[in-house]
Amino acid sequence: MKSIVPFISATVAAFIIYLVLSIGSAGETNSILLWSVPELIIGLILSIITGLLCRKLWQGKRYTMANPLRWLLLAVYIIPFVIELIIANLTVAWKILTGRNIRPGIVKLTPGLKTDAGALLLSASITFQPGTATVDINEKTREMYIHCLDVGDAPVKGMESGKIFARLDLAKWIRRITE
Amino acid sequence: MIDTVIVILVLLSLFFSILGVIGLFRFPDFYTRIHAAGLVGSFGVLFAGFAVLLYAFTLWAAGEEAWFNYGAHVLLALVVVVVTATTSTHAIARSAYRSGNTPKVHVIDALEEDEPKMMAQEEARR
Amino acid sequence: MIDIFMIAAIIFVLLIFACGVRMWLGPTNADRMLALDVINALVVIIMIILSIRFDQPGFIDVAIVYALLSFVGTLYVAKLIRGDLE
Repeated sequence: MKSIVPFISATVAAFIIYLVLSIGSAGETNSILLWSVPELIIGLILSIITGLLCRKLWQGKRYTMANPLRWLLLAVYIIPFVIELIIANLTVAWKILTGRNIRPGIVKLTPGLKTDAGALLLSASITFQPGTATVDINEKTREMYIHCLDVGDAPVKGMESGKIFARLDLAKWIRRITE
Repeated sequence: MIDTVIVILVLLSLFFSILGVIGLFRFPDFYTRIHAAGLVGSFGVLFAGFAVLLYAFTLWAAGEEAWFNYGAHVLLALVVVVVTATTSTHAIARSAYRSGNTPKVHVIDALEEDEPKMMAQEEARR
Repeated sequence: MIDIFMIAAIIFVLLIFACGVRMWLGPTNADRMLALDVINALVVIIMIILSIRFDQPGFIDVAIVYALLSFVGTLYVAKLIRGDLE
C-alpha cells in the first residue's frame, strides 16, 4: 500500500507525457479522439514499465500539492512571473548594452517558506530570471544565497524577500500557492 | 500579416541571443556571466517557441491537421527547456562556488562566512 | 519573402562559434561549462526555428531530446568541476 501511490502517480505522469508526444496520431479508423488505439496500448505498457522503474523517485512526505486548486493557482502564477521576467530581461539587456555599470554581490535571503516545494519554486523562479541566480541553499532553514547583478545603493547582507524582485513580491504568491 | 509577426518574433529571439553572447564577453567574472547566459536561456528560447506557436495557429486557421504536432510538441519543449536551464545554471554556480571559484568583482558576499557551515552540513547528510 | 529563417539560423551558428571562443579563452572551468550551456540553448533555438523553415515537426522532438541529454551532461560536468568524481 505504501508504494502504490508513487507507482500510480509516476505512471500517470509518464502516460500524460506520452499522450502529448503522440498527439495527432489518429487515422481514418480505429482511433479514440486524437490518438490511435495501438499507440494508446503501447503507451500504457511503456508507462507502466516506467512507473515500476521510477516509483522510488516519487515518494513524497507531504501531499499538499496534490490538491487541484493549487495547480490552478500555479497556472495563475505564470502572469506575475512573466511580468517580472520581462522587467528583468530588459534591465539585463540595458546593462549589457550600456557597459559596466554593475554592482554584483551575493546576498542572503530568508523567505520563511515552510515546505520544500515552495523553496524549490522560489529558487527556480529566482534562477530563471536573468539578473539573479541562486548560488546555494540551506536545506534545513531554507535560506538562499543569491548572486545579484545589481545589489542596490545600500547593500545589506540579509535581504528581505520582497526586495529581490523588481515590482511584485513573488515570495508572497508562492506562500499562497504552497501553504 | 501574421507571417510578419512570426518573423519579428524570430528577430527578437536573435536580438536577445546576440545580447547574451556579447554579455558573455563583456562581463568581468563568472558569476556575472551567468546572468548574460540567462538572457539566451529565457527570452531567446521563449521567443523562438512563441514563433512556432504562432505558426501552429496559422496552420490551425488554414484547417490543416499538423497544427497539434507543432503546438503540443513546442509547449513540451518550452517546459523542458525552462526546467533544465534553471537546474543546470544552479548546478554550475553551486559547484563553482564549492570548488573555490569565489566572485572576483563583488560589493558584498554573504556566502563567504557561511560556506564552511554549509559544507559541514552536506558532509553530515551523506 | 526572403529566406529570413535561414539567415537567422546562420547568425545563430556564428553565435555558437563566438561561444566557442569563450570556451577557448575561459579563465576557469566553470566559464567553459557556462559557454557550453549557452551553446546547448542556441542549438535548441536553431532546431525550433528550422522546423518552421523546412516544415518538419520532427525537428522539435529532436530539440526536446537534445535538451534532456545535454542537461544530463551538464550535471555530470558540474560534479566534475566540484571534484566529486574519482
